[in-house]
Amino acid sequence: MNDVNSRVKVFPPDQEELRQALLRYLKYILCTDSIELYVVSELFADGVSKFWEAIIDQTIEKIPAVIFIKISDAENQGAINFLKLKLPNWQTWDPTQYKLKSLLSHFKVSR
Amino acid sequence: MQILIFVTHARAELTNDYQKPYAGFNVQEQEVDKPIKITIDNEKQLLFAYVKEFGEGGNLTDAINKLIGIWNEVGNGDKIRIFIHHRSINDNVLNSIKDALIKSSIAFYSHIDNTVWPILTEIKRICQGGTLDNNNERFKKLFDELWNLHSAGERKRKLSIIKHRIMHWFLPMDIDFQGISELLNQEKEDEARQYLKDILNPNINRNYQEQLAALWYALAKYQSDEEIREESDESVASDSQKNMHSIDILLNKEKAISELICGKTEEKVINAWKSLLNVSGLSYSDTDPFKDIKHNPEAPICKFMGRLDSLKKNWEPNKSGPLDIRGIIKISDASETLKNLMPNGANIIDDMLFPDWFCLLMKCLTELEEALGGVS
Repeated sequence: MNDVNSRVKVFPPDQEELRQALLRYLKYILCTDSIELYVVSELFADGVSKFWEAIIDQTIEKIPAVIFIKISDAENQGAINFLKLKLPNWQTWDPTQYKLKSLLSHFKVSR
Repeated sequence: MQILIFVTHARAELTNDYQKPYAGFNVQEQEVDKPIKITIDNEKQLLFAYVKEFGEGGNLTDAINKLIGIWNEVGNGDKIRIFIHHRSINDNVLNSIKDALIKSSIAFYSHIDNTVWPILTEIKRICQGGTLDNNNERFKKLFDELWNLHSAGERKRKLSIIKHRIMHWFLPMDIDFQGISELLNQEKEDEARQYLKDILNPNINRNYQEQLAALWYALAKYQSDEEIREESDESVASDSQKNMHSIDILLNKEKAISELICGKTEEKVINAWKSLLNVSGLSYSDTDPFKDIKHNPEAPICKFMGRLDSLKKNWEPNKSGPLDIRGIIKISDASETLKNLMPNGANIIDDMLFPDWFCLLMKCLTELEEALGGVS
């Protein structure tokens, strides 16, 4: 199996264990050598400003696939509506409702 | 004096009469910017204020400043509770408030809820024009109902925060074991073993029993004897052990779930609490589920986490011979044991794996949250 050189970023960035678990999953299950993926677990926490700056300023040339973990639609409708306009490729993920594999199968992931 | 502050972005809540769909106090247009104050027997005061900045296009900083101004005007204290008529920005509002006392005093309501809104509408009915129509006893009763709803809402919100943290606490582990089980479903046992080896790599700073211990602390501030001994002998603990051993990581010095719900007697709450303890590997007194809480070493999840720590500690990378991967990742005897423990006969599947346990834990937390009722 090839090692993975995935470009997975998590927001807030202090969740290294989550990032490593995702890297392992992508390595063993998707078996691909390069994936660009952002994973956002808090929309407004400290450390997420870089994500918002990238979205608002379009400083990333190609916005990667984005997973929002368990973001409540009801309480963040304004932000979700904004993201719908800016992001072409994103999904929300409630880990208690869907397996990660099922979520990724609906994704267009850059390789 | 108990003070209930209502803040709305909707002008109609003041200017409409109570019979219109968007019920209001029926005050004159020129009086809209002046808060309505209704005080009974110098014991209970309802203050209703229009802050347009909370509405569409409003500046949230200005809105918060006005709210703090109202708070300061009525006097500082722990007998003030605030309801804000929201428009889907609850998190933004709370994140913008630095004062912990004010923040903890806030709950939200809306014209489409069936908790606060009907009671508030009845208050508006007996306070048309912004003054009470001599119906003092009725007003007091409605006031108390709102006051109690607010308390329930506060408990529910705190529980929701702990639930969110618990989900994120176990999520990396959930992803890992989803991956392994996926490979086993595809009959790729060798790759599944390699996956498990990666997870149990000693360089990965994860201690499974300590992860469970943090959950126990979040549920009931329970610490096992071993953990208390370790804490009292920190000089022998390595730096990495100390880093991992932050048992309060999920609570961050806030109240445990047991403290939030202690005193509740509703059957729904008690059953949901017992289920939560059972799934988490904690036992409790037969007569009172808030007493004698301790871990049950025979609980499926305790045995599973202990097995992983033991494997990690004794891992020999070059050791040949098959590893019973299916046996290791199964939460042993989960089916029968948990079926017996769950008061509501939850749907426990055979051959429970970690992701199934994780979903069950979250289900128990959701049931408890719903059983608490109240506003959010």
